[in-house]
Amino acid sequence: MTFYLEGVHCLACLWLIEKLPEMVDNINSSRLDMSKSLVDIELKEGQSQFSFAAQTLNTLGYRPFPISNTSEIKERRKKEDHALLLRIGISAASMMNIMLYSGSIYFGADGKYLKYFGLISFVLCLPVILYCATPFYKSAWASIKNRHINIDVPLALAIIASFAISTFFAFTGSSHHYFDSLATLTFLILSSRYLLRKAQQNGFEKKDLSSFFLQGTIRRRKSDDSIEEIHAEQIEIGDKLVVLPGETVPADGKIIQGETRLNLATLTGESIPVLQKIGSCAFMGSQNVGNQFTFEVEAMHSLTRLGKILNEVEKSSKQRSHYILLTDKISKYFVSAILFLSALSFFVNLYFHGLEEALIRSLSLIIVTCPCALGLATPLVFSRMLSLSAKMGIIVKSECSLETLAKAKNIFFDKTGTLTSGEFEVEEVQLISPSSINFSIEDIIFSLESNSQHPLAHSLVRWSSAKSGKLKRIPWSLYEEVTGRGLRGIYNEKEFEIYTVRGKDDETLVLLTEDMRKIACLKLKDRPRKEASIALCRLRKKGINLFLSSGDKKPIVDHIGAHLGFDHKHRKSELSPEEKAAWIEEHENSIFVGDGANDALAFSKASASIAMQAAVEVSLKTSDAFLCRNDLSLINQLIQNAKQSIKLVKQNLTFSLIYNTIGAYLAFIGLIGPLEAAILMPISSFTVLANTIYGSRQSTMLKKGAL
Amino acid sequence: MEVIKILIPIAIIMGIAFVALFIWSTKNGQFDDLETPSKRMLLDDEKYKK
Repeated sequence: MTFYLEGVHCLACLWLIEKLPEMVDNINSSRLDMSKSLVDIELKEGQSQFSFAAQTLNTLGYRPFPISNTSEIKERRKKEDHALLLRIGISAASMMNIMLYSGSIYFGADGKYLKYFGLISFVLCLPVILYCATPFYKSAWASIKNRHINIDVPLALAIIASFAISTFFAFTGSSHHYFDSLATLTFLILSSRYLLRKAQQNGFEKKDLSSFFLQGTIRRRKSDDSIEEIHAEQIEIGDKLVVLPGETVPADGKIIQGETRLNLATLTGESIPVLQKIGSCAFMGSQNVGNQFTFEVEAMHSLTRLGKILNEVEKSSKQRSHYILLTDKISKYFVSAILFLSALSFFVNLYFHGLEEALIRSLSLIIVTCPCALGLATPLVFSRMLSLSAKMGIIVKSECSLETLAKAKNIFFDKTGTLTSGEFEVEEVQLISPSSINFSIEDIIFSLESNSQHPLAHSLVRWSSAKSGKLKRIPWSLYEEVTGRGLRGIYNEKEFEIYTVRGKDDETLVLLTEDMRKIACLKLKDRPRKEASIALCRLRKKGINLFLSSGDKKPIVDHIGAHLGFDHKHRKSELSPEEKAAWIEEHENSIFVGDGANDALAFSKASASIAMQAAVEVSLKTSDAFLCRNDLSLINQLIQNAKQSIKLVKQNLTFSLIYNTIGAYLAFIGLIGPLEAAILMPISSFTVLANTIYGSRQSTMLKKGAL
Repeated sequence: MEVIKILIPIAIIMGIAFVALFIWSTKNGQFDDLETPSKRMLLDDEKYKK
């Protein structure tokens, strides 16, 4: 049976898992596939199935999740991969066997040997033409039917033409046949396509962005009411899942047991949790801030509300990148230019050097020129960067966004929720008059607030627990939450109330009263995020100007601004949305970072925008990137990723330009024959692919982002 | 050089034989996982001591 194992990451894991048959009697064999994290275990006959195997794996420290039989899609993909590998292998065998005979001809085999070797090469090349190169013909034909010329057209043309010419020469006894080049070309190009395919696969399937919002273990309640732990991949419709306090809901469904509060911030932008009872809907991506509850799954992954939102956003962001548009245009002209140049080369050489030479040189020209940087590498750069960013926790809307983000010179930050955590911290406590009961202020506040789910309550509870080691709970004779006002409790016939007001400088004040008499006043402030100063410092080091724009009152903005290094020119307070947008418009190449919901105008005026903390849908409709974690250092990483993509694209295009110019020239002159051309072209393709893959590896990007 | 009339057929037959083996091993799934065998090779062959 096959299990998906969580926690496999190194050589020691491999050793341990594959030693299972020796460690445990009833296991016959155990084989691990590290790239997929799948282990295949065979048990001895008559053994009690997978609970035993699963337990053993668990004791080793790896969480096992049983995998159902491979679905059709996986089977199909395997068949595709096999077909590609077969083509590569057969063309390689053909190539090398033909070389045996070509080699002899190059060294001067003559007479009947020449003739026979030519015929043998012809026969050996047949599998290549008839089987290995068929993907090229299909692609070229499809594109011609659509009145379009793609990069496979010259390739298919080169292959068919060389084969025809070589056959002609082989049967007339001449030595000018190129079966070896043909087979080599096919082999090397198939290999680079294989490499490209692997590079694209080795990552993350962008189609399921909603899996971001999933965490590791999910608890499913079985029909006998016991709870089993499963992996997100195994959820099925109709499952009854249990969500503990603090966990994120893994799918859409109806609550069947328990009452709780869910924080729907990712969906609606509201950070105040909403009460959910039996029968209400639980949405994927919402956070459980209340009690444990059970719900029945109705929709999963891309069919959930969150999934649909993300899908819509992807579909609607069909704005193609500037560079990709450019490269598409260049490809079209490139291919036509190549065909024109080779025709030109044919006629010029025909005039000066005769038919044979003309054929050889124009063939070499078609073979050596390669638009791979255009058609293959550029899209690969962007798709890898997008999925890499997603892996790091940044959802980028499209390739276009990466381009604009890379050009950024100025970044405008919103204050509340972006630079500050949005959670209030107690800054000052003012004791106004003593309370008449025998409990401390901390005890009273704690006892009042500990049952509330409001974010303010959390900060007050944190404060009181920090202030006093031993908190005493007051046994209220009456306790109620007064909606819209605060909390109320009665003890010893004295009424205690706690509620919030806005101070004169717009700070938040919490007042505690006993029988309408004020006994304490706490000032709460919104503190900056702890990573804020470091992240901002790193951004400044990159040469980017940072600005703080806020609608809050001057003293608070000044205070936070000074703390984070924004001087007078770079901070503005009490701005209306229109004023914010106007300030941004004055600066070119600006990014706006804010909370998606109420900064829509600013978002649209900036060249690029990044949203954090608020609803995914609204954010991604108006902004270019969404941070899945509320971490300002992600901004740094994102900008670095964007800059790196542009750098890679430029490198690839430059290399390609130089290579093609030199290659075409040498072919025209006759310094390169078809064989050399067949080898050089895939090498250039490999080079560009290797540059892309190396330059967009996660380790490379993490290192660069940290500087 | 008449021996070449025997050598060439032998070479071709060997080539075909190896290609057939390759086709079999691909269909058998031996090329599906290219990453793990490289790491597995580095492990020692010691018997596990309980």
